[in-house]
Amino acid sequence: MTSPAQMRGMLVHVMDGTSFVPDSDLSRHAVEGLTPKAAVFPASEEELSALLKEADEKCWAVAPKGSGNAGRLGNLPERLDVVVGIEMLPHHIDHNPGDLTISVGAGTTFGLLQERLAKEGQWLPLDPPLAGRRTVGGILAANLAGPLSLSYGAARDFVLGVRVESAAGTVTKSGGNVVKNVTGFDLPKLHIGALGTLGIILQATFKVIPLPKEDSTLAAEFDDLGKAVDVCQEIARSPYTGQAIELIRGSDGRNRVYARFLGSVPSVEVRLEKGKSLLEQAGAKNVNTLAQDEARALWDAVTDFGWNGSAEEEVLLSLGHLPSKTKPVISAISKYCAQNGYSLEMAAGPARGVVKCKIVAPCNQMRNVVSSLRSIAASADGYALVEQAPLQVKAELDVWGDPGPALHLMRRLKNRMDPNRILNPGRYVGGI
Amino acid sequence: MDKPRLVKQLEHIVGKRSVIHHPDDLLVYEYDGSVDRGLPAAVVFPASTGEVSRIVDLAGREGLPVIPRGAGTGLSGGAIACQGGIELALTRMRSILEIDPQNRIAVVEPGVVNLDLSVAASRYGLYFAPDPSSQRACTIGGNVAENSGGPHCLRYGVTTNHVLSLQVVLEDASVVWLGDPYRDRPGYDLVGAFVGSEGMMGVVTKAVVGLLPAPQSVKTMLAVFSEIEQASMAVSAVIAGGLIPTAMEMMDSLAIKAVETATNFGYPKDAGAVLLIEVDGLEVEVNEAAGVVREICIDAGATDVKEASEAVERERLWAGRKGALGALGTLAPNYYLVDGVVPRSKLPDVLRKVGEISEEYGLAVANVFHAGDGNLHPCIVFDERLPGQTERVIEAGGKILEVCVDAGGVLTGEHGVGLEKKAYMPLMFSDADMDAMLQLKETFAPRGLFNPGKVFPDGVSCLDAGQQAAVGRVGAGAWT
Repeated sequence: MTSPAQMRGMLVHVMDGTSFVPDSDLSRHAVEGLTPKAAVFPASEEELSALLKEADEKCWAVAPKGSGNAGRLGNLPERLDVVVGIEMLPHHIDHNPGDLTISVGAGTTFGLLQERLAKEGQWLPLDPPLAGRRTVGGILAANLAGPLSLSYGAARDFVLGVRVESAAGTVTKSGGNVVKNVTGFDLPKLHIGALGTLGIILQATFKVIPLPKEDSTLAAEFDDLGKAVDVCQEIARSPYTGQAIELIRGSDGRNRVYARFLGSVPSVEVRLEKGKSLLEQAGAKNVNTLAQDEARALWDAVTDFGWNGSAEEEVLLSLGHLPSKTKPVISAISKYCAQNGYSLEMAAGPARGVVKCKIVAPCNQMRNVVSSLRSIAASADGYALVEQAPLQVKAELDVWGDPGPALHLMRRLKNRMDPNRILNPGRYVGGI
Repeated sequence: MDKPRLVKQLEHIVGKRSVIHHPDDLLVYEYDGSVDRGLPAAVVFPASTGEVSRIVDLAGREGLPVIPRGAGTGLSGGAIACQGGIELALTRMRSILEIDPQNRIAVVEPGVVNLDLSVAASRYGLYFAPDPSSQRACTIGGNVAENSGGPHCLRYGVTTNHVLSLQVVLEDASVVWLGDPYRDRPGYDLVGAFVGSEGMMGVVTKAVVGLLPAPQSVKTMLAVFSEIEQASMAVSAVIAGGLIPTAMEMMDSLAIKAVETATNFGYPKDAGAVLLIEVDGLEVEVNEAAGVVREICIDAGATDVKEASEAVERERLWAGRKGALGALGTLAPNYYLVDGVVPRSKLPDVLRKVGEISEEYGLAVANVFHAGDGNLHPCIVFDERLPGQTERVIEAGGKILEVCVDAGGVLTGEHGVGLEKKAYMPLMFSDADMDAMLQLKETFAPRGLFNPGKVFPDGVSCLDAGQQAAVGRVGAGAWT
């Protein structure tokens, strides 16, 4: 076994001493309870290349790290030697407002990216959990979608090109810097949502869009959960749809529907009116337009649902399926939790076909909870991803669930791109 | 295996009437929308996924290339049997298996014609967004292979943004589903990686695609400018004004002259450029956006802005644009079409350089293109009967691509690399970049059975790569 001191000794000839985290701080870079033997923050791509070449040769397990906010996503690591932070890599930002494109270093925070865009009246309409403080690289690697994906799509729809450091320490680029491009294969798609298992994203170029002039949110309450689901889908199907339409069922058992309308002033005005009348016709109580501060706080809470530090006895699952299956899925989950006396909170995008649920249950019953929700998901031809769970629970399950019939191709791909399995081994789907 | 035995075995799989093998009949399948050529040993028309799989199995055992083919409207030589082998024409698999209006998805076979899907979906107020100009003929399978675009992808994205799941036959003849009808199932985005792989990774036998609701209101505007720079400025100003129209198309003076000579579409013959701009959405949004667009165009120097809301009138405004490539025949018998993309802000600069190249080579260039997303389509018009002309044209085309890449752009926006542009790949990509693409390709197709000789510059091609490119005969491939 290599000790931390030995590992440092082996790395010091390829890396600048200032890039190392002192041994006394190593535990702060633990991944799911596993402390690395070294944690480094390379200051240049060359340093990162040198480090990866060394790691690849010696088969050290490398865990790429962004801000660490989503570090709990994924299976427990199979092994861990080096944590590699991307935050000290160059943060150059190249924004071309006239082209509606922006290129950023992967260590840039998403908050800073949006700030720069906002100065020119533009934005990137992605809203994953804890977005503002996370890095662009981390957000792409985790690829968790938020409520706005209802109308804007996901990260894959905005990434034009990436530069990536391969497991062998080679820098490659794919895609381009223009909004339309079919030159060569679409490799950027592979790295989005790959949890860093195929390479470490160094830089990404995005297509961006103009900031909407108006941003208004309607809130309403429903006694009946089914009616709340129906009205969300009804608004989404109408030409007057909102850009995000979410249903929140609190632990108090109350069902709230929120619809966010973005666009030009006259467009939002007319859609708010239609939205209001649809909600009222469906039997909503307390239909009102939220004040700006209130709306902002609300959408932060919705996007961050389940990600703001979880309790010991809590599991956060995300179920995905066709939108038409949302109603039976929600009703099955509610019934299951009620029968077993588990506290349940839900944040659902009925028209997106996504139901996130936070369930409080004793740890020794959590495996049952997960497998029960997986059967609910399976009966809707969908999946259930465990986004958060206590360590001892994660130790006993595959958080990703069934990755579908093409797993053998995914394994083959991993095998070609990272044959020594050094990047995040064991943490991805099917134990990749 | 000798050819008669091969034909017999293919006939055994699909039936006698679904195999073409007589040399005269094969000639039709020597081409696609480009004028690269390559004669296959046979063309086979499977009717089911099972038949595709059996054909791939046979080809695999015999080590024969398999070239998937849709309608053959491709513009980069992607469906050319440049190393012989079996052309796998998917046009018999043309059923729309399901339209699910509630979830806004459709399940289709690969041979379904792009426009037919939108027509079928219109009954539910839905449509399939990618709209390549060949949409009356081209197939969804071909769209997937090339990641096709179209005039309206400025706002709604290209094919990859609308493909959810694919059933594909792999090199070992196995059948596998990639992705799900919903997007977010954990795992690598194999659908995203497959779309745009130009038929080299597998054969699509079913596709689940997303459909969009038809907009409540649409407005098409035609703005006339005396100088092309003014039109370019207008494009930038519209974007800077916070608007993303559904389409923003430009034609320069030579293109206008050609269409007006061919048919009278009512474009002023002395105009320096026209811009076609379309906006859609709710009526209130469309009226507002159209007002802004009109104002911007007039500020930029437009001498006239026509506007149409009714379908028939809108079609009329589009007609000149859609007929532009065909109309180039009034200028010269041949054209060579370039598909480079540049950052929008570089348009005026790049168009000027294209003009310089045109002068330097003494070749006329007409520009008809997707200005909104910076996707140029310079058409070099010429007469191939003049000795040395074709070579000069291809050289000039290469120069234009160099200018595009130098300006921070790319080689192809929607036509694909295929045979035509593979020699230029090193302008954009290093060996390491190409190796990474090869890793992906070899994951799906380690033996290289599917569509060999395309995309990668060192592949074997029919002719010397630098010397052969998509030189169009007018009317043959008038899609863009």
